[in-house]
This record gives sequence, C-alpha cells and structure tokens, in this order.
Amino acid sequence: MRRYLSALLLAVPAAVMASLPPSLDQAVQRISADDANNRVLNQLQAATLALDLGNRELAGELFDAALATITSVYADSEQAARARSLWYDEGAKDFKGEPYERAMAFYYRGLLDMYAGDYENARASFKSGLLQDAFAEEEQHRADFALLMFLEAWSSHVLGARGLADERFEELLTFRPGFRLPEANHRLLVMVETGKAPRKLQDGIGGNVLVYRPGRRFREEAVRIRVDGKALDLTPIESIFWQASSRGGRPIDSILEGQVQFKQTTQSVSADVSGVAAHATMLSPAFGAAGGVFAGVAAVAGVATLATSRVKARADHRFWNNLPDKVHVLTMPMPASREVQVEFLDASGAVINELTQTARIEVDAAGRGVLWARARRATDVDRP
Amino acid sequence: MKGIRSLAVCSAVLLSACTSTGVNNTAGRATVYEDVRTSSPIVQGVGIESQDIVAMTDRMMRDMLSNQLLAGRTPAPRVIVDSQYFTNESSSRINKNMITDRLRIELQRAAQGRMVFIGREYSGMVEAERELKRTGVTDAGTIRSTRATAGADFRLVGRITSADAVDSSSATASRYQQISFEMIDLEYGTIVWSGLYEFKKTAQDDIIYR
Repeated sequence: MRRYLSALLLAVPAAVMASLPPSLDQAVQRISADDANNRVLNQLQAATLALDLGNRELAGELFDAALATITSVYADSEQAARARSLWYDEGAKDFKGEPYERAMAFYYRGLLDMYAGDYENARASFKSGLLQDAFAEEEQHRADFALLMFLEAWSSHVLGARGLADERFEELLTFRPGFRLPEANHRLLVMVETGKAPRKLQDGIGGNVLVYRPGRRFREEAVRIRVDGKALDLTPIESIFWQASSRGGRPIDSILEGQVQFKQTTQSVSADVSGVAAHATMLSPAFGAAGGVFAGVAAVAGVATLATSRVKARADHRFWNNLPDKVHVLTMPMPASREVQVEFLDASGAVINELTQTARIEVDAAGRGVLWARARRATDVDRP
Repeated sequence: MKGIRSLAVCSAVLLSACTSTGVNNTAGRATVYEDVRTSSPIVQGVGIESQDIVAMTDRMMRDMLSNQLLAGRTPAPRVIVDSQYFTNESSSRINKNMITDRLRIELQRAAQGRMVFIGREYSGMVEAERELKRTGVTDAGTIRSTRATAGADFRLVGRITSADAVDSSSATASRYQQISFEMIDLEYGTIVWSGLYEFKKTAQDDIIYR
C-alpha cells in the first residue's frame, strides 16, 4: 500500500513541479522514469537535492515516501525472492540501501523535523536511524553511529528531557571521548557536511564482492564558522565512509558466494560433459540408436552451459550519491546575529575560499535554532 | 535414454521459466478500502499502525468512562484532551494528534454529557472572537455571553515510549511500545485516572536486506 502512497505523494507536488529548478525537476522525474526497483534510491537523491535547494516541503514528502519503503518488511516477497535467485543480480532487488544509507535517510528526516520545531519526531527519527546501524555484522561497530546518538541526545536536551539527554550523551562519550557536550544554555545546533558519498564498487569474481571507496575529488576536511565576531571550529562527529565500510560482511554475500561457486561448478560440469558430447556427436552415426544417448548428453551439456551463462552473482553497487563524507557539529548559545559565515579547511588547515558561504540560522517558536550547511551542492556527485 | 532426454528438456524449460518468475504487477492495483482495525496484509512494520491507535483509544475511552472520579461527577467535569502534554519518547515517528483527537472525539460521543470537553488549543481563536464581540465589531451572537472562558478540571497527559531490540544474527527487529495515559487534577495536581496500552511487534526482513 505504501508503494501506492508513494506514487500519490509524487503526484501531490505536480503543481509545484513547474517551478522547480531544472536539476531538481530532473531528479524528481527520474523517480518515475527509472526502473521501479530504483525508486527509493531516486527518492533519496531527489530529497537530498530538494533539501539542499531549500525546498523542505518536497524533501519531506520524498523522504517520507522513501522511508515508508525502507521501514516496510519484505517477508515472503516475490521480488525479494527473485533477487536471491541464481538468475538475477543482487541489483534486481528494490533498493532500500545498506544500513548506513538507511540511517542517513532517518538523519535527514530528523533534520527536517528539527527545522519544523518537532523535536519529538526528530528524536524518533534519530533513534530509528541508530537502529538501522544495529544490523552491522562486526559487533564492535554495531550501533556506533555517533552522529545519530548525538542528535537524539540533542533533541532531548532542547526538549528539556534532562535524564534522556544525559543517558545518550554518556553513551556518546564512549564512542567519541572528549566530545564537548552541550551546556544547559545551548540552543543552537550547527551541522555542516563535507566531502562526497562513499562509493560502492563490485570486486571479486564477476563482481560478487561489494567494496567501499571514499568519495573522490574533494579536499575539505574541517569546518569553521564566524559569527558575532568569533571564529569557532566544528567537531567532526561522523565519517559516513567509515560507517559504510566498517559494517563487515552481509548475509547476502554468502548467497552471492554460493552463486559464484555454482557458476564455477556448472562451468566445469559443462566443460566435462561438452567434451563427451563432442565425441558423441561424431560417433553417433556409427552407433546408430545408441547415438541418442550421446545426443541427450549434449543437451545436458547445453543446459549446463546455458545455466553458467545465466547465473548472475554481481553485488548491488547502487549507492546514494549525494551523501556527504563527514558531518561536523557545534552547539552554542543563540548568537545575536542570524547570519553565519561557514568556512571549509583542507587537511593542512588552509581555508578553501571557493567553498566559503553564508548560512542563516533558523529559530523555531520555542527559541531552538538549527543551522545546516553542506560544502558542495547535492548535484556535485561521483559516478559509480 | 529417454530419462536423460526428458531431464535435459525439463531442465531447459525450468531454466527458461526461472527467468520470468517476477510478479507481474504492471497493471497496478485498484484502490481498496482496508479495515483500520486490522493489520495491512501488504506492508507491515514494527511501528504504531492504525489498528494500534484504534484499539488503544477504544480501550482508554471505555476505561475512562467507567471511572467514577471522572465520569460520575455532578456537575460534569471539564476536561482537556489534546497532545500538548502527550510526549513521544519512542523511536516511532507519529503525529500524536491522531491518538488524542480520536480519544477526545470517541469520548465525547460516548460520554453523553458526563464530561465536558474544552478546546484549549483553540483558545486563541476563541479569545479573538470574544474581542470582536466585546469591541462591537460584531454583535454578541445568539447563545450567551460569559465573563470568562471555561476553566478545566482535568487534563490528559501521557507518554509514548519504546524499547527496541535487534538480533543481528537473524536480523529480527522487535519493538515493545508502551503508551501511558493519565488524567491530572488541574487544581490539586493528583492523578485521578491512569491507563496503559502496550504491544510488541517483531519482524524479520528478507535476507537480501540484512
């Protein structure tokens, strides 16, 4: 049902679509034009672009539609069964993203809730995102998404739920020792994203292994803001590439490995039987009726060869391409100025002038502020 | 001999069949009304769904009406049932008004005057209209004039909480959800009624998504 709801949600902003910037219009169009199993991927990418361009209403609708699919349980699904089968790539499945991507979908949903002043639902989003990270195979990296932990605690902090906030901040310190916790009078959250999305690549025999590589062609590593005459450095709280690459093996990897083994086995069976069949074809006229046996062997060999050629064991390397590489945060009391200059620094600490921008603090009715910015436009992405 | 041939043919047929086992849903699916009291057979998650909201508000309504401190007073007590003090601390995103609106409306329908409901969230609108009447911009209306708007005797408060568990080996996710409702005496601060609704859902996604 949610799939139909998604379609409806896409229909709603149709009237608004005429006024969309071309890049966003194109991204939205791709949702319906592309394969249905890429719908969530295209929704996430279009939503991120909408958020970047300040169209929060559309971003919210698109994230909601994507999350409706992400959170739905695929049990006894024909489509999922197909993706498990020998004859389809893993990429035949509906894209729901790897845990880090699902977690980031909740992160953006929560960010939009914070902008709307709905910190309770923002906290629910961050908690849900953190749960996505609990699926990591590597135990030490399970539920270690410090960014979401911090944001959950921050939401409780501004809601005045001291106990809940302290509990989460304490947990955060086990992952980020030395992190400067917000003080009681802090009401502004500054959150800035740098770099480009981690890339997924196919590796191994026939591309059955999924590997991660950092985004390319960016050099910003740190963030500094200037407000009320002060320069303040942000703390890098999360590496999205680390979250992507530290997950460990996936259960689907075993299936892909099995498919590769099947392919190798059928290849050798096919080669062996083909050899017999080649001889049989030559000998069958001499053996009369007995030649039929060899014809049957040839048919089996043909089936094995066909099976080998049709087995698909490639890992799904579709990735959410406009995610950042890192997220940096800072909390502070509300400054007098609503305009903030955001500077990006390279590894040597030099300001990258072309990335410097001015961002505006948004304050809700309860006096809680958010400033979110990203170093690069959401259209500046790496291709697979 | 025939066996081998049949096997080969069957294998080939099976193989070709395997390439087209996807569900043909190109024709789409017509809109259907579903029962809000039952879980959708199409999509299910571990969050709060329509059947949970309906079941919990029905139960709370019945419980409140059977409480003499609330529904057995003369004159009928004035109560506020809205989401102002109903907090969501769970991991489920929800519009809390869905719960409090249904509870208030069903309560009002079933209470038959045993409780009087105050629309405190609309107080700004009421004050603005009263101001128009009192400044002579509009006439006084047809019902009556009162010195002040109604004060409340009780107010609903509550909390939505959850405890999530994930078994990473089987990727089974489970969510225990607890929704507490309490009615506070707005003069004395005591809790005159409490209700609790809880449920737990468990689901396991297909292995390709774990």
